[in-house]
Amino acid sequence: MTFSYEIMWIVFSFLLTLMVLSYLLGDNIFFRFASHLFIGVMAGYVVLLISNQILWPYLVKPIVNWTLPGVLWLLIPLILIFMLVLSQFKRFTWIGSLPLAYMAGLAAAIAVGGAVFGTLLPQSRAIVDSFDPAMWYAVPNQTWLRILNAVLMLVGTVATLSYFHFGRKRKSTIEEEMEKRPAILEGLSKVGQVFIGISLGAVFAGVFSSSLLALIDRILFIGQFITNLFRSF
Amino acid sequence: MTDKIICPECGAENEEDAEFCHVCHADLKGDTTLEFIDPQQTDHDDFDLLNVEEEDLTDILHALKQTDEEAILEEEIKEDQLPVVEPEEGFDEGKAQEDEGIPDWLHRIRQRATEEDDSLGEITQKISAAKESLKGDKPEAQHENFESWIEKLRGPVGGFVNKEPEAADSDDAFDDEDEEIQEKEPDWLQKIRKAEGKEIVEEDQETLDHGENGLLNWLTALEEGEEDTAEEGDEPDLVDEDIESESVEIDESAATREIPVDEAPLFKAIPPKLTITKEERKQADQLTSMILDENAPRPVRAIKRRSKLGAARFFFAILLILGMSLSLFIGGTTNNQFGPIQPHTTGFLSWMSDLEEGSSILLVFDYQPAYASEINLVATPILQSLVSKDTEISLISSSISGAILQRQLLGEIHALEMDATHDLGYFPIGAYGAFGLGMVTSANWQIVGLPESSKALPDSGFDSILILSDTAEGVRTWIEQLTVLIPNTPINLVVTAQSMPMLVPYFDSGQITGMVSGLNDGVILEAELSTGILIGNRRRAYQVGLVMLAAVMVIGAINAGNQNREEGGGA
Repeated sequence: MTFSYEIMWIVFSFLLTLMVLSYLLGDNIFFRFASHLFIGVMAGYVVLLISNQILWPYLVKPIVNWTLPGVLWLLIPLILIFMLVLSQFKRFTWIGSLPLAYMAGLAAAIAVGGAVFGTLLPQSRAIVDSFDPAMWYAVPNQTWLRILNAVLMLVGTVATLSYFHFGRKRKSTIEEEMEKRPAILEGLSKVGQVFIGISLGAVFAGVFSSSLLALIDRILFIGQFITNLFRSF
Repeated sequence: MTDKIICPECGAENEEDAEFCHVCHADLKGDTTLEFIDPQQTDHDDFDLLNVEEEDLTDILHALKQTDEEAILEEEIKEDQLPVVEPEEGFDEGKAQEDEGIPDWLHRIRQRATEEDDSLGEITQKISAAKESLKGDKPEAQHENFESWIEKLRGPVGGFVNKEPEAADSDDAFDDEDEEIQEKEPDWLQKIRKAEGKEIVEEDQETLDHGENGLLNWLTALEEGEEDTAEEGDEPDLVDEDIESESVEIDESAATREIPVDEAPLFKAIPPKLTITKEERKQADQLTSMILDENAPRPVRAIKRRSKLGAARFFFAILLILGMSLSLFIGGTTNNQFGPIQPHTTGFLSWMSDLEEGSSILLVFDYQPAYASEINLVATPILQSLVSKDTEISLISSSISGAILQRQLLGEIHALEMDATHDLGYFPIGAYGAFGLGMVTSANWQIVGLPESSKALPDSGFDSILILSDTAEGVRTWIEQLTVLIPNTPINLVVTAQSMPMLVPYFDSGQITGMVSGLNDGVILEAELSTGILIGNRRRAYQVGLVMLAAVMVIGAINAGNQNREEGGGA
């Protein structure tokens, strides 16, 4: 086996994999070394990534290639950046609130707009559409299945939303009654718990599956490394 | 009129030749000073003292505790406030000379001091009375706590009231000034009322004002042990109807000790009445229950030997790895799918087959390195198929390591060497990136000054978008923005198995065209797209791993149940 750059990295990867797997024996110095190395490398990589992918092409390069429209476009973000930097000094902390408010407002507007028009309305419409008889008879042998699916979707949606309803009786003199939800909501929330449990179980199964695949990949890597090592001698 | 000597200690009149006071037996020939105070001035000052701010009140109380010498010294320091005469020897001998030079007011004071019995003034009388009581065997701690008493009294202002002193009725000064005091409340009382947030009815207000005037009186009376708790009928009712009041009996013997006095009490006071609101009662109950709970005996949990648990965990882990390794490296390859093809997988396959050659596709890399193996398994045959159709591929990464991962994935299939591949760069925030991309694509804005990478965007927008992601949240951000801004562009997903269940509703609603995830879909894609075998033995290892992990979970659940039962039985 000839020593090369690629082989060095393969050996290094092999050792790091073993270090991470050593956690099976409990927390130890090798596992911690691998964890800290990963975090350090990640931090350094992020700095380089931001510099190369954000600061250079979006900020420095337009200034270097001086064009009036380009610089004018940069004026607004430059002022906001300057205000953020200035807010790090105690005397000018208040200045930072403007760019932060701008960012928070923008993020909220985008997120709320997306959630309403991209999730809430289409999903509600999908549930309504599922009760369309034309949809039931679209596939001949699956009519009852589609009806059942529509009913389950409706019940699941209502029950799950009921679980997250935290209202209580408005006019009640008894303290215990005031702390309780109305009986209908209480019953629906119990059903909602079942749906939530099934959903979380499905997600957990997915996490399980993904973890297994990652482990398989590592075992495969170790096996191939050892096989290649023996073959080379 | 014969000359009298006024005792500097108690103010009593004594004969001219008396060496000791006939009341307090104080030395009348000593080098002490005697104060002659104008009765009018005394009344005024006395009243001022009653109205002064809290620090002055504290000073007065502090003065009560001081020794005679200290008191005299302090009086000398305050000579600019109160006129002080020379010692009594000088008073007798040089009287004629002084009469010529002294002002009228001093002359009147001296005259009254020698003629009238009440010339000593109220302050002097009070001080004398207080000193009388101090001479008793009362513990010193009682006096040292004066300041803390005042602090307590300031707190629950609604909780107690001072009964109007009976003797004060005879005091003209009080009667004259009461109206002024009612009009002008002191700051400290206003602050207390504001803090308490309780309104006091008008008749109670009057009583409280009297109480304020008599605060010192009340304290003095308390000092003298003149508390009269029996007269409850005189108690003004300051309690609001909303407030649940509870009178708390104060152990007087523990707080103060009753000191007998000879003379009739000047002022009367009632013990503080503690007012507790519902909320305070609730908090107190909670605190009590918490303390009780903390002090309650708990079953001692048997400390299990961790080494046993660690060994079992290690054993199962080794068993899992060995089982999966054997299934990976021993045995043949199988490409049988697990079950029926899901509708979203069918939709994805339809999109792939309908894709025309030379189409422009946007690839979004939104996953972490830990999930690279899973994503790569499914994405590799898809990308191979796209490359074979000469599609124009634009790349965006919204995860930190997206750039590395796209090089790794596309490098394996040599897609990066294609001229039709454009890297649009890194978008730190997925929502911003999706929104901006959707806006530019939908409106065809030609914004001046945008980075060069944006010039790679196709003029007519993308024919299709393929998102590779490991989280449902990341995908949802892109879907929410793009389905609104560019609704006619089909969106397809390559996701991990853990995020798939949360994204199925978007397929049901028609917002996405298709979705593939996990090993099963990888097997189907391999079969449908006729690519080389990538899944191979992984599927067998995956099955072995699933069975073993399920077994471990069942064993763990049974063990935990037994453990709980043992603990329950033990308790």
